[in-house]
Amino acid sequence: MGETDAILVQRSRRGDAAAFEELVRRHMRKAYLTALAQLGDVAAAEDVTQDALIAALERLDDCREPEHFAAWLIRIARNKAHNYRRRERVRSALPLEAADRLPAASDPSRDASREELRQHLLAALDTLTERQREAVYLFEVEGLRHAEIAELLGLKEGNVRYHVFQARRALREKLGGVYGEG
Amino acid sequence: MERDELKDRIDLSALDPFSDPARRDAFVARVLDTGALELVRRRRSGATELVWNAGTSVFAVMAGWARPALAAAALAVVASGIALRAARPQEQVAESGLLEAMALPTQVQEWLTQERTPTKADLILTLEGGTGW
Repeated sequence: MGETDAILVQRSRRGDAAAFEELVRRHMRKAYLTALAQLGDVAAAEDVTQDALIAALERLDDCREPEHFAAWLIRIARNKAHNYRRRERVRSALPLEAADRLPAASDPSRDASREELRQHLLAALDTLTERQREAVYLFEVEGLRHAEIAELLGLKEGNVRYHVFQARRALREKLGGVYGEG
Repeated sequence: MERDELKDRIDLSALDPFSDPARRDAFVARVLDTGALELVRRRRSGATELVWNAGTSVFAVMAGWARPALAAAALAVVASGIALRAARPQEQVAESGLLEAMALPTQVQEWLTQERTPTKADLILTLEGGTGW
């Protein structure tokens, strides 16, 4: 285990690039998944994540609880995603627009199947509530426990457990064909 | 329930661009590049803060030296006292030689040696007693 978030925030406040890089690497996926839960667009979520990380750096002095930097970053990412969605009105165009903006493939057949899978996933996830998506992303992709997700999202652990359960059940129904389950 | 869910994961990795190390590193580099100016600004303001701290710490350093300085001054006073005391017998020797040379009465020599002001009784006794004068 490296330095704590609190120490990294303290060092980043003094302009320590290595400390900030460590914070970015440690928490960028959480911010990204939060943005993705709102936007349903991989590329847009990446852009928003970058904006959120830069905003966090610029406002680092406002982070009153550096030991809870991740939760603070997630709030920034959520706000950024909200603004992005309002500005760009991307939600109505999901999920196909997301597929259009993905980077060019290096292996066409492999990337085509991955893209097909991504479309299935995004379509299934679009049927969930935003909270359910956040919870299930952090659970499945980031591999966080219910308690950790609860702390990050400012929810009760029981609520997170419920959101994850509901989301997983809905996804299994939607994705049964993709994963060979029913 | 969580344990069951952990065993039976739904694979959403297709939605995770950062599972690809090259893409993850490129993203981090982009963020650091965009934030470079802010980091430099913070380093500069941090340096200014250090200078300011150094300025304020001068007082702290001075305050820190106050006690040793006082101790040194006290030591100097003690040493001076010892030196003066050590020098005093020689003066006394010199003084006593001078007094003898002046052929003063013994009693008067004692007063001078002791740096004592004679009382009226001393003066009367000395004059009446005719102690060598």
